[in-house]
Amino acid sequence: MKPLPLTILASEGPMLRAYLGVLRQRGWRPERIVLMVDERDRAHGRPVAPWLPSSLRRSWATKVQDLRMNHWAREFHGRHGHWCRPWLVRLAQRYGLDAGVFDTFIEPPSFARHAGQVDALLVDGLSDRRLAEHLRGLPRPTTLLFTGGGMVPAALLALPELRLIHVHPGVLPHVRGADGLLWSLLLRGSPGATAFYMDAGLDTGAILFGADLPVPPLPESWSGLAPEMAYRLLYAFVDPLLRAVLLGRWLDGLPTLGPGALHELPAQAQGAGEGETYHFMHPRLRRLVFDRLARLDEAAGATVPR
Amino acid sequence: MPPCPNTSLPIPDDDRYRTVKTHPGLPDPGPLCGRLAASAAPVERELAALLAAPALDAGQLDRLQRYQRKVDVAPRVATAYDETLRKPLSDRAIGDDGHLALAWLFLRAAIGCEGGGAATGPRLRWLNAAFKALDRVPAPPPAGPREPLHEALETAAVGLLPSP
Repeated sequence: MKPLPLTILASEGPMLRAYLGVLRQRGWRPERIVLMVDERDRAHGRPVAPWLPSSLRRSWATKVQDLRMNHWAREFHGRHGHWCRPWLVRLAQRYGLDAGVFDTFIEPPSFARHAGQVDALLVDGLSDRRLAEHLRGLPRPTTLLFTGGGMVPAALLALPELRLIHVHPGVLPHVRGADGLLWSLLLRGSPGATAFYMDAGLDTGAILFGADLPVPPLPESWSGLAPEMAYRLLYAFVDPLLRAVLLGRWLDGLPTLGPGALHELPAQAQGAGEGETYHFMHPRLRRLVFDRLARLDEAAGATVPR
Repeated sequence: MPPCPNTSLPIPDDDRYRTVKTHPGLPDPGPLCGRLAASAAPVERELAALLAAPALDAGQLDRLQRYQRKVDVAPRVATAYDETLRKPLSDRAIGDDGHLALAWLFLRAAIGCEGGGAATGPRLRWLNAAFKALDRVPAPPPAGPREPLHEALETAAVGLLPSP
């Protein structure tokens, strides 16, 4: 395995699992994972087992967030495995991967085999000062891969000699904001992704690498899926995989990756007036995207063997 | 973002807060404008003025974009805000008429957005917000053009979609 001078700022869920799976398949081993363990249960917002001693509580909360955040990947892989697993094989193939990458999506939350060091922190969101304190104590310079969604507080971005990289599921600056996968399919006819250094804005940081990506294949059962299930399927597997594929391609294209190599790479600033920011897509427009995806899949099926 | 001058869009009759002429693709808002103009909520009165405006100037369009953002990301559109539309001055949300007006205005902006293919993104963004605004109006509606508006949104959704 090649050492990767990158710390994963890990927010549990399919995105984290995709990064870990793809990096492992491509032979990269991140130097560290900082796993943020939600001290509140995302299902209802109440603290997880506050009566437990802190180490036990962290362990329990890790399991709770794993169950919450990776539910749909396991549900599709298990209960709907008869159509989902063959599709995952084709999905991985489309992006030059082995289907074993999806094992990482459903495995228990044990990350030691993915990184040189794993720090698990019980935190209450990104604004928690315990997180800032921990990051402040990391060796410098530090480059973090942010695997969550939304905005990172300015206090974290301002930490000295620390930079955050994020992979957005859309080609920047054209498609910023939420549901980037769906807006990309609707507006550009193909998915895309962009790695960038995060700044205080929403997907406005300097661009490291961006690309349009091949349209994903669809499962045989696609037309029979309820729209909300189709949405969950895309966000359980496709959206995270595309981000990870982009990250892998970018890293593979870099010449040398010695210590601190990812901290000061040349990056293209985004113009102030460039691009569009989109918000979560209404279910009606989502259905149009799903129909379009089916047509694109049908067209691709004429040339790509299933 | 391409300009959306809406120059061919509704022109008010002599009583500008009673009747708004429709534009192809837009249903008649009927008495919506008049009801909103009489509302106690400042936001609803502003929406009445936007409905009645024959074209939105840059300032009005900017304010409509701020309302669009609220529909997209905020839990509610309040009945009153500060001058910049940043800070809500009320805990109450606008009513069904206000949401209908927002859906209507967003649809008008989507249809009127100029710029050819480059405006497809902004058009669909307006349309997306129009659907969301209409979702906040119960069906069947207490009054107002919800169903015709919904049909117009459906038509626009297909019509504004870029070619594959």
